[in-house]
Amino acid sequence: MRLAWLFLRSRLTGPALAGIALTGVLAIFWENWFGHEAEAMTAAFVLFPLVVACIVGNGAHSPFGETELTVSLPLARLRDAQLTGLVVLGALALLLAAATWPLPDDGGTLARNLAGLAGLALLSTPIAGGRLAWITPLTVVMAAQFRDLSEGVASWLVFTWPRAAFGNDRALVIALALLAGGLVVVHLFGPKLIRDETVV
Amino acid sequence: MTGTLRLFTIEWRRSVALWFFPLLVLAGGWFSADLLLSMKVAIWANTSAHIGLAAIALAPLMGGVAAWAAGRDQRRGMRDLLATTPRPAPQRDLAALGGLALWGMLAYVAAGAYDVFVSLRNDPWGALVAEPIVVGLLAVIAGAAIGYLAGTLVPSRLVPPLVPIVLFFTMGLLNSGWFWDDPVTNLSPWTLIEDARFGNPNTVFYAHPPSLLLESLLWLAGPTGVAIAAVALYRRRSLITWGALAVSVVVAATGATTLMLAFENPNTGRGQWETRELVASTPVCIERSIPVCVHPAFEPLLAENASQIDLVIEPVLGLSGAPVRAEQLPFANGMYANGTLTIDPIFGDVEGVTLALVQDSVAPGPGWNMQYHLQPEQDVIAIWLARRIDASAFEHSYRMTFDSVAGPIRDPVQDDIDAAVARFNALAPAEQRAWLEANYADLRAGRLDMDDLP
Repeated sequence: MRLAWLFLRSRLTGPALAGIALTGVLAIFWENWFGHEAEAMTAAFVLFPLVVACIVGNGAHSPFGETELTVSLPLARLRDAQLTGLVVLGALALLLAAATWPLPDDGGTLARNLAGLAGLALLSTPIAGGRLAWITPLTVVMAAQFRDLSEGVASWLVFTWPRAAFGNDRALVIALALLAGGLVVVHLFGPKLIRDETVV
Repeated sequence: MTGTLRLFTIEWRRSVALWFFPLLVLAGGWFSADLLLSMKVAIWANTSAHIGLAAIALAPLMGGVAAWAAGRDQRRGMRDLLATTPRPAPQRDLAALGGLALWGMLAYVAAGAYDVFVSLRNDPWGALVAEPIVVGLLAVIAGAAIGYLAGTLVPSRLVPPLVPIVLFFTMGLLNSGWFWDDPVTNLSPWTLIEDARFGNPNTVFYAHPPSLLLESLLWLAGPTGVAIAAVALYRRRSLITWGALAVSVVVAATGATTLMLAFENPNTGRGQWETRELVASTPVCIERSIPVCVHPAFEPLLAENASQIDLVIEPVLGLSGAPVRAEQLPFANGMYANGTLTIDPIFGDVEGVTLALVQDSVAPGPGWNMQYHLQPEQDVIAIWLARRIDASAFEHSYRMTFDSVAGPIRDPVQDDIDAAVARFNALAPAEQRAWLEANYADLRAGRLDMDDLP
């Protein structure tokens, strides 16, 4: 138990949970500010999941570098539990926030986007490391925001899935596949380790 | 000076932005050239706007990269060691930020060069416009400076992702419909670059309004100066750094104020296109079953457009209310009382043409955008006409248009419409023509219902 506690502390899980909670609170206020205005809500469906996904990706960062690999304990299992927990708690925070929004599918859309974007962040951790895991989901979100959906949603779904309606099954499959892929990759390979790291 | 230059060179060569450079070029290229590639005709003003649009991706990304780079000394545990060096800390910061910004600018130039290459293939019309290009470049530098400031003040691992997210969504929100009629929208580089003065193909018909380059320059140089001065203040407080901060704040405030004063509210008539000066041009025409004319800039698309329009209007040709001429007019769609059908050659406009053919929706003048509310029987004939060209492209576009107007009301009648289209299509051409001769006027006037269709 103490090991799990120390592991979570080393991954700054406390500040990460605070960040997730703050994101949820901001999501509640967002709807109050913009009153479900179409463009603001379209942005909200990717903005809040993106912030939580960046927090999840950041949580994969190990401050101990290669030294940590010498321990005889199952690091991968601890990492899996920590990252899965962050995703689940992130989804819960967004679902609770969306409960104050007027439309029934809002929470589902937020949770789906979190799954996909967190998956993208985790997929990039073996190459970029936990601290730079935000680049991939951010780039995909920017591409999705800019792409004119009238050009044909289906042909560009690989980029536009965060903007698809909740009823779009293919977008849901893409998001879940990304999350599953991200968790598997981070379990197998772990985040990229950087020598000479100091705890920040 | 040589020492500073050497330090800058080292920072530039060793900059973390070097590793991001391919991503930056790809992101910039995607944002700027994507829509440009889908256009079959090139207009330099439009290309200029697309070059600038690369900054919408590059400015936030450079912000994130700069925030990451600013935390380098902290990550490597070298802050105390570097504090002992004789060279002032702000000089090191300037060199690091300069190296980062230079990579960002190079990525911007590379993405822009691709835009120019794409445009040159299509014999572009007009001339490059400096304003959106310069605004984009300044936005990239400002993004890097803001990110560097954030990373310096808060060297947390969560800051590098938060900076680009905040920058991107702030620019996007200020450019969104929420701030459509609010002067604050002019503070977003996205708004300044995407301004319809450059990005809209209809600009070929109008003289350019006064430039906002100086105001934009002040506004975007301001935050850059504030960020640099704030970093310098954080390192060492002095009269010079306080003075630089004060001057930067004044410059930014001046730029912001003048930009907001220059805002043209679309709801109050100011800034409407029809109030601007039209540039005289002689349309280029081609004779088909009716004359089809476009602005000279769109001449490369004329033959293709004329062939499509020919196919669509052929079944109704000569009937009362059918078009006698098709012409590209600025900001217009629908059909005029004199029988002129307006066309939008850049997007093919099958949708606009077919909708105008089945409904009496006479456009009162240029600048007027028609709102179509078709009845189901008008839908049937519109779909049938459009399928004479390309069913798939039209159906996608048309259904989106219809859904946006009628929403879920469409669903219950969808099957009936599809069946009626199939029945009408199965008729012999002579029977189709006979039905149209007997019913075209009533169809356009909305006096038929689904039972009147064959």
